[in-house]
This record gives sequence, C-alpha cells and structure tokens, in this order.
Amino acid sequence: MNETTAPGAPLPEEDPTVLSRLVRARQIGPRAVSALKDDLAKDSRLGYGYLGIGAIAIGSFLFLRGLAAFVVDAVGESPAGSTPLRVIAWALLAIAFVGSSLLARRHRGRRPALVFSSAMVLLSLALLIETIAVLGTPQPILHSSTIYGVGATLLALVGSRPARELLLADGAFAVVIAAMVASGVASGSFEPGPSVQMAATALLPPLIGAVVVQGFGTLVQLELDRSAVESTLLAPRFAFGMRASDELARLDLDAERILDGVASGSIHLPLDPKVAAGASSIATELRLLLVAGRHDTWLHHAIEESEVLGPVVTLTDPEGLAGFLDASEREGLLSAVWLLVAESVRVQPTLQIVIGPRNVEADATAASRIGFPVALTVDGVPRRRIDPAVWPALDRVGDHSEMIAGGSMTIVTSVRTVAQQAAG
Amino acid sequence: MPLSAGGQPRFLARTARLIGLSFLSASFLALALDVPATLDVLAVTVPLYAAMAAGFTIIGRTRSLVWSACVLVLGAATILLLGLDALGGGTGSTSSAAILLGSGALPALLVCNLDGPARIVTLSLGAALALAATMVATADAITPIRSVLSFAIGWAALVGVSFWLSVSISRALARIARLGRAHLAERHATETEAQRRQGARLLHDTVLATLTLLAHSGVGVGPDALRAQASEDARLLRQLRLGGTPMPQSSGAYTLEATETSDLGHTLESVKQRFDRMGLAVSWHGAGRLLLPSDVLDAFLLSLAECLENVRRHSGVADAEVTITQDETTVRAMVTDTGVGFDLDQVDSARLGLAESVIARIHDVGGRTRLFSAPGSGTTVVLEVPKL
Repeated sequence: MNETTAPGAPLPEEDPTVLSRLVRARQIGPRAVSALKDDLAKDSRLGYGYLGIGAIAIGSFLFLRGLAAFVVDAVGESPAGSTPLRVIAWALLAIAFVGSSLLARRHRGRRPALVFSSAMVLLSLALLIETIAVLGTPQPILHSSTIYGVGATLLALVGSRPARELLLADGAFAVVIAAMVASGVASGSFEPGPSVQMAATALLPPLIGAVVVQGFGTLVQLELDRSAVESTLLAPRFAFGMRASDELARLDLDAERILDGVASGSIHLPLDPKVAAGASSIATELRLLLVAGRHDTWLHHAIEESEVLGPVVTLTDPEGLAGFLDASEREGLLSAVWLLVAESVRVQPTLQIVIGPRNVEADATAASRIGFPVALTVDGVPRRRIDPAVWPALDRVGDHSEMIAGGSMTIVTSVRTVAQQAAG
Repeated sequence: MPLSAGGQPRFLARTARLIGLSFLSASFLALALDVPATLDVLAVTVPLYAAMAAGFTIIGRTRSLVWSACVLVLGAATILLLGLDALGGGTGSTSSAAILLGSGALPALLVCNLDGPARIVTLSLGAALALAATMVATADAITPIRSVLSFAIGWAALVGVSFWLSVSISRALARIARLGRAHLAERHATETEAQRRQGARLLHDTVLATLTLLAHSGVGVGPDALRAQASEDARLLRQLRLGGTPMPQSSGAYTLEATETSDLGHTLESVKQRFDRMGLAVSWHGAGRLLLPSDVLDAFLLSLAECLENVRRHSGVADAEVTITQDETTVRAMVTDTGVGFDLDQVDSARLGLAESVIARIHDVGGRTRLFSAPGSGTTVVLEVPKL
C-alpha cells in the first residue's frame, strides 16, 4: 500500500492565484466572490485530504494485522469454519480497501457516493460470507478475523465521506458484531474477555476515526470563522462591512442591467409592472444604503459576519464607541468575546454587549481622551466554566469588575482611550 | 494569530480522552461480563478504573502532564493486579482486559503528549512500564509473542494517529491562515470599493432619478430621451464597476445636488495621466489640493481637459504647462503651450471648439475665460472659477 506519497496536488506555499482570482471575481460581481470562496474551501478541503491519507495508512496497518491473524488461524491446527469461504471474504475486502483507496486519490481525497456504496456492498458481502463460514461454531466472534478487515476498511474510508454516513455504517457493523457476541453467550463455553477484546479492536478504530474526523471538521469551521472575524480588527472607526459593500455592488450591477436593457431596447418602454417594481425597489434599496452610509463599527461587522458569534451575541453601541478602541484594545475585547462564546464547551451561552454612554470628562486637559464602559452580560455559563484567559484579555481593554446576579454575570470594563479620530 | 490559538491542543486532548475512555470501557467490560470468576479482581481494580477515567476526563480539558503520568502508573498497577493469581487473575478475561488497557487505553495518551521532550520521556517510561506489566500479567493465558504483538500494534497505531492528526491540523491551520490573509485583503478592497461607490454621489443621484422615472413608466419624458439617459447612466455605472470614477456630464432633465465638495488634486492627476497616455506631457505647477463645489469642479475639470485637448490637436508640440493658483475667492488655471499659436483676430474661437466646451461652461458656473495667443509664440488660456 503505497499511500504515503504526497496527496493529489500539493499546494504552493503562498498560492498566489487565490488573490488574483478573488480580484478577478470582484469585477464580475459579488456572487462570483462567494462562489469562488466556496470553491477554494472545497478545492483544498483544508487538510481533509491529508487526514484521509492518514486514515488509509493506519487502516492498512490494521488490515494487514487482521490478514496476519487470518493466516495464523487458517494454518493452525484447527481452523474454525470453512477456510475457502474466508479467502473469498478477504478477497472482497481487499478489493474494497484497495479500490476505494486508489479512487480516493484520483478524486483528490473525496470518494463519490457510488464508490462508497460499492465499498459498503462489498463489506456487507464479506460479513455475510463470514457469518455463513462461522455458522454453527460455538463462539463465532473468536474465529472471525474478517471483522478486523471490515473495521480497517471502514477506518480507511473515514476522511472521504460525511461523518454521518460513516457513523451509520459503523452502527450497522456494531449490530453484526453484537449479534456475534450474543450468539457466543448462548453457547456453553462463552469467553467474555477475548470476545470483548475482538469486538473492541475491530469496532473502535472506525468509530473513533469517524468521531475524530467530525471533530476535525468542527475545528476547521471554528478556525475559519475566527480568521474571518480577526480581519475586522484593522478596520477604520466606521466601515461598510463586507455585506453592505457586496450589497452596494450588487445593486449597482442590477441598476446597470436595467438601464442597459432600456438603452439597448431589450426592455420595452413603458416598462411592464414587474420590471417597474424591480426598478423601484432597486432605487429604494440603493437610496437607503447610500444614506445609511457607514455607521457600524468593526465590532458590529465582526459579530454580524461570524456564524459563531452572530446568533448568540447582541451588540448595543449607538454612538459607535467601539470604533475608538485601538488595535490592542480591540484584540483584547474580541478575544474575550470569543472565549466567552465560541470556546465554551457543552453549554451555549448568550452574550449581550452594551457600550456607552460616553463619560462626561470634567478634566479639561484630558480633552483628547475619552472614557466609556463596556458591559458584557453572559447568560448560561457558570463562573467556573469561563475560560481563565478571558481576564488577561480584558485587562488589555481596561479595568474591569464583575457582578453575578442569578444565572447571569456582567463584566463591566471601563475604557479610557485616546480618541485620535474623535474630533469634538 | 491574535485571538487565542488553543484549537489544536484542545482538539488533540479531546481525541486522547475519547480514545482512552473508549478502550478503558472495553477493558472494564471484558472484566464485568465474566463477573463470577473475576469478582475479586474487579473489586480491587474498580477504584483504579475510576481514577483512570477521571484522569482521562481531566486530561481532555487541561492536557495535564501530571495526570498523564498518573494514568500511566495507575494503568501499569491495574495490569499487574489483573495478573495476580491470588485475585483470580491470569485468565482469558483478565488478560483481555489487560491487553485492552495496556495496548488501547494507555497509548491514547500519546495523542496529546508528543510535543515536548518532557512529555515524550514520560510517555516512553510509561510505555516501558506498561509493557513489562502486560508481559507479567498475561504470561499465563497467552504467549509472550502475542502480547508483545498486541502491545506493539496498539502503540504504533496511536503514534501514527498522533502524527497524522498533528500534521493534518497544522496543514489545515496554515491553509486557514492563508485564506484569512486573502480575506483581510478582500475586506480592505471591498471597503475601498464601497467608499468609491458611495463617493460617486453625483452618479448615483442621476441613476436614482432615472430608475425612479423608469419605475413610474417615464411619465413626462419622451422614450428616446429616456433611452439616451439610461444608456449614459449604464455607461457610467459600467465605468464605476471597472474601477473608474466617472462623473456625469449632463443630468438630463433632473436637478443634481451640487453641494458636495471633492478633492481636486486627485482628479487633476487622473487628467494628467489621461493626456500622458495620449502623447501630451502635462507639467503641473501650483496647488494640488483644492476644494470646489462639485458642479464648479465638473465645469473646471472638463474645460481644462478641453484646453489640453486643443493643445494636443492644434499646437504641434508634445507638452503643455498647467499652473493652478488660488486666492480666497477664485481658483485659476493657466494652460500654456509653446506651439504654433494663432492670430486671435483671424481665427474664430468657435472654430477651435472653445466657445461651447470651455467658455460657455465656465460662464455657467460664474467664472470667466481669457485667451492669449499670437502666431509662432504659443497659446495661453486662463480659466477662473469662483470657490463658493
């Protein structure tokens, strides 16, 4: 099994095409950009391909181990059941294993559903043959070396299909194994220890593999989201944000299409009611967007654009004070928010951020400095469950104190920052 | 990575916990299913199993090295107890439990402990201890070769798992960092783009007016006029999309708001570049940053461009001088060339295209135009526009 060579297409170090492709897509329109981003994410699969090759390597190791166990058993003094039938079962397994591994390489780490279902059919056939072969023996599982091969093949498939499908297959496999163990219990000479050992070594690797790959996917999504959120840290005090920008570009493009249509005569004058309504709604949206302008801060965009923060964080910052925070303070605040929400395990907290109102400064010499409170109210997380890294992150923003009332905790941080951009 | 980058170690720790607890349960199950025979050994080892389960749980959260070492020692002790004849050990079931523990649960610690010398040394010592214990405990029930083989397969597979997981995560994180940088650049570009689009107020005003007119079926405006206006607006939108900063030259029948001021210096530079491309070198003198109301700016800029176009076409030289000066009330541009010149009395200024394109346009915004020339001594045009 020579699967340890580099995967399909090793990516160049900095992938210079990504940016230029993005820039080109930008001229076509906003939808092209998001389509391209999806495409990029799928294209590289962000390490899934590599993970899949690891699964194949470890799977082939376990496959050979099972094969060795079969050979030892077959040449032993009292081979249980029918050896020729087992040879057929192992041949089917080998076809499933080698075939799906090779096809996975050809499809850059992904296996088409057809390949996956064929592999499943081969595995089921092998299990069926195994069952026929051990029929009548007192403890079928102790002589079923084939199940090692089935487990190893399921493990090798782990990186290339959605975790749900694999867990389903593992579930079916578990039922077969449980049946084998159960039929052993019925026999007089049941050996629980070795039976459990066989069952565990065949079943646990693919099962754990599927769960690990699922966790890997979650990790990748979380990291992607975080890196998108981080890009807001360098934004000016007020910004359009990606969504409003895309929206503006889209509306301009829609307007251009209608005007072009009218100019070229492909849209007849006077407009039919549907097109007229379309023109009217484009004009309204465009007007709103242009009037609205830039009133949202980086923090607003960070929360709005994040799939992790968006649903659980609400931000109240009518004066746009978050925009006054400098880079380090922004980083501290965003880290704290992220740690409170995204990194908490098992519980799904909600977070309310209230920024302001601005303190009235009595000190005339401190005219360029402004102060305001940032209140973070967390619901649904006990104090001890909060990541201790939250506190040093908030230290970068300002002095903070916490209040606990019922099930919720409020952390108030007083910010004093130099307002370079705050004229007046 | 500015935000806490704890994803990788946390994921590895959770994976270690998952594998550890799975095999620990299997090992316990092997004992529990054989309960009459293994009652004594089960009674003795239950606290140890509980302690190991607690250890794995804590490791899953904190990746504690101390707990890893404790689990290894507890594991070796449990394996030894499983082999004690006095407790009814050394049977098939206890051997299986020992193998599952020593070759499945304990090597799970590898997954989160291969990233430092201290951790690697601890794990190696633990592995040696577990191997010795397994050999002793399973000697009665299975051959030494089989127990060594199981042990080697378990530990080797988990070394492989640890290695592949670390490499996969590193690659994924590097890839994400690259995408993150691309995203940052994209955000920057989008923001600039949005500002440029929003800044094109004059353009959007006429587009909005045309769209509104279209939405009301063009009442009061002839279809041809409407079509011409739509064509002009679509052209400007296309220019905007392709990266230009177009300014509408006429606004059809609509009134434009002209209260915005814009940055002249930037626009002058683009005029200069345009003529550079067409083969006329323009030398620029004087104030580069001027603020003018946008209708005045429009007229000023278009007239200036028209003057330069005249120089390019008629003067016979390839360079021109533009001097811009200002006082409190007026902005003045002087366009000079050293070309053929002409006799002002003999050549009608209308023939030079100046009457409509320059003089009238400047007059409309309350400014004035002066023209100086003589055959053989070049031409000078002075444009004056009011600032407010």
